[in-house]
Amino acid sequence: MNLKSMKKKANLATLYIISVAIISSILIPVYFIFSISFLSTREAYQYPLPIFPELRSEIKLENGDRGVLLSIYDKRNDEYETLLDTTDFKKMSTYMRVNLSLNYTPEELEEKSKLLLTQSQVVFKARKDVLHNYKTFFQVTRDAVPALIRSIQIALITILISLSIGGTAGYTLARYRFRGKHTLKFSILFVRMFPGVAIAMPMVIILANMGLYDQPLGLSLVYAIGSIALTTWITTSIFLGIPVELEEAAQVFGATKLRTFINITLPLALPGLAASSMYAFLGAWNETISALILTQFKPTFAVVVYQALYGSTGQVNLTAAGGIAMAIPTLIFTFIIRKYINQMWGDVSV
Amino acid sequence: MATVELKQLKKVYNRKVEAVKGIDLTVHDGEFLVLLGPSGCGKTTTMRMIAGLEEITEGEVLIDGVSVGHLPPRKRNVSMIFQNYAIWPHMTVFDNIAYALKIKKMEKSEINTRVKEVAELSGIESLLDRYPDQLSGGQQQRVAVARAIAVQPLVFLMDEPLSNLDAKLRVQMRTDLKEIHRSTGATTVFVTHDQSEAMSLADRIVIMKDGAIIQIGTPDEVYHNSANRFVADFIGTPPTNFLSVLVGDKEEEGYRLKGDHLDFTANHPSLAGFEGKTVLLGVRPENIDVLPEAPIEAICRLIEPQGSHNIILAQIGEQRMKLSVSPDIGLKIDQTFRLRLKSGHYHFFDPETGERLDK
Repeated sequence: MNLKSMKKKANLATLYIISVAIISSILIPVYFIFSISFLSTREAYQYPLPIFPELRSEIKLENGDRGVLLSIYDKRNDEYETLLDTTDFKKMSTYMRVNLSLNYTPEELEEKSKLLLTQSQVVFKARKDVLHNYKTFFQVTRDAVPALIRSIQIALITILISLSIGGTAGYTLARYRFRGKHTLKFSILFVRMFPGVAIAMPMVIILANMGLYDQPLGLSLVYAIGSIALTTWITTSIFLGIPVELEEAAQVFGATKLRTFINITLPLALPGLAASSMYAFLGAWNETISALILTQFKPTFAVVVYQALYGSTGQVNLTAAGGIAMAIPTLIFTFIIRKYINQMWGDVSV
Repeated sequence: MATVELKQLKKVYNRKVEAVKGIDLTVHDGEFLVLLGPSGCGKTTTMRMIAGLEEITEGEVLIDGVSVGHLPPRKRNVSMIFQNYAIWPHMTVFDNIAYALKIKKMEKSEINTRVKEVAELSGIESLLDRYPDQLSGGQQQRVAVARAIAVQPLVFLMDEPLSNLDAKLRVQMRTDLKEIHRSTGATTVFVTHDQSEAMSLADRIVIMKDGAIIQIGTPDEVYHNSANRFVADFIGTPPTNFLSVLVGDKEEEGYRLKGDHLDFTANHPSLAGFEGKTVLLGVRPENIDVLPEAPIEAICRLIEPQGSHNIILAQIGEQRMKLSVSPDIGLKIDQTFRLRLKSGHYHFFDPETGERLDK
């Protein structure tokens, strides 16, 4: 093997190492939040955190000082950890549900403990309710389901506003020549100069005056301001990428300007429009800080997840479940949009 | 079929730049007219004003005697072939051709027969289900042609339709376009900057420069009787040779012409009044004979073999000229030889205005 091919291989190896490092720096946190969302509360507060959630727990019941002694097998220390000593099966059932994600009715537990009359201990494998955190999240968090619906509403309205205003602005900037065009194009970006928090207070006042404070439409307007700027820039370059002759040809061959736009320009611009609606969606969907300030009784889903972490219900595994639940609509939306983003035609490109 | 008339047609950009400076032109019924000129001469702008894609600053466009200046493109009953074909990438070949017919709300069966008909005429009947990105450049061009024929317009407009094709295909498409024109007989305006394309296609050529028409004529007229130095230089490969000569007094056989290493007589009536002045002599490369007894001495500097003939770069004193001669003459590089201008096949041009003297 000569030196040259050795060097080539070394370069390739370095490339692989770097790409693996980059990919894992993204995937590992995602994996962790995914895994945490399936942990029981007891597991979630162990140190170090388990890498894989357990699917089954080994439970031991025995006669204790006060009543029935509840223990769980701890793999790490290879011993049973005693959790509770009680005669109240209702309390035990609740404890198991909340801390261990195990669903047993008080009656079932009572049934099992009856065996203790004849034997010193009862050991059984219990199947963990893996979706427990998700169920709990939507039960205990104030408003989770309506908040989810509101968030979807807000995201869709934001897309609608930013595509209709930003898209037409982009078309104008791409196709027409007028005085102050470049100044206008740059000034559109000014709105993105200010962080959301900095302008949140004035926004509260303005929205309150408009009667849109604590309303989905109000938040959509705030988000749209930012995404209109991005949409304008993205669509400008898309429309520039569509040869003007394609539109002129349509006009020569009998189409009106509107018909040309619908039949020719729009289908060709679709991938770009899809991409910018993706931006608008993500911006509106993930935004938390402005939403926290601009809502009161009608929070968005992002706010609900945030409150699950810091509010009185604060539990890391519940928040993780909320976070994953929040990612699902994004994934669905991405899958729908992906079809259009890939649909590029000939030399028309984004 | 139709005639197109341009009356004092003018286009001014940004209130300053005069792209087209008020031109008058009539395209006859069924004629293949070529607008020829270097880039920026206003030929494309003129065509776009006929199509309605460019607003008319002043003047009128009449199709069949009806002023169409205020009408949008779709109401002018013209069809156009664009330089980059401009066929819609998201539609199949069939849909591309049928688009205009669908807008006209034609019967479906009628559309089918029409599309098949024009596809056959342009040789793309097997490609109707394909998308443009699955076609070669030449095939895309044919789709553009088929689409233009399908609408059966009054006037065909073609904006440098062959310039994106490779050399061999271009020559072939030329022949095809001419055949299609003959079979449809439609009035056609064709824009190009390629003079050989213009020569081979046109019934009449309109030569434009700086937004104005320089000469209108058949290919033969503009080639053999170029109106001025610009046309003589623009038309022909290689172009006309120019030699500056001093006109002497009239002698028995004609005027005595003297120049750098030049001394001969020519009987050319247009030279009257130019005695004692310098004029430009223009002669086409094929109108020069190489003969041992000829009056002008030249040195052969370069030879460009073309198969059927050779192009010789000859040096006469400080001036250079190209001549097209038979390969049988057997000239060698740096060889001195003698040449003669074929009598009656050269013209004189005013060195200042560039106009031909015997116009």
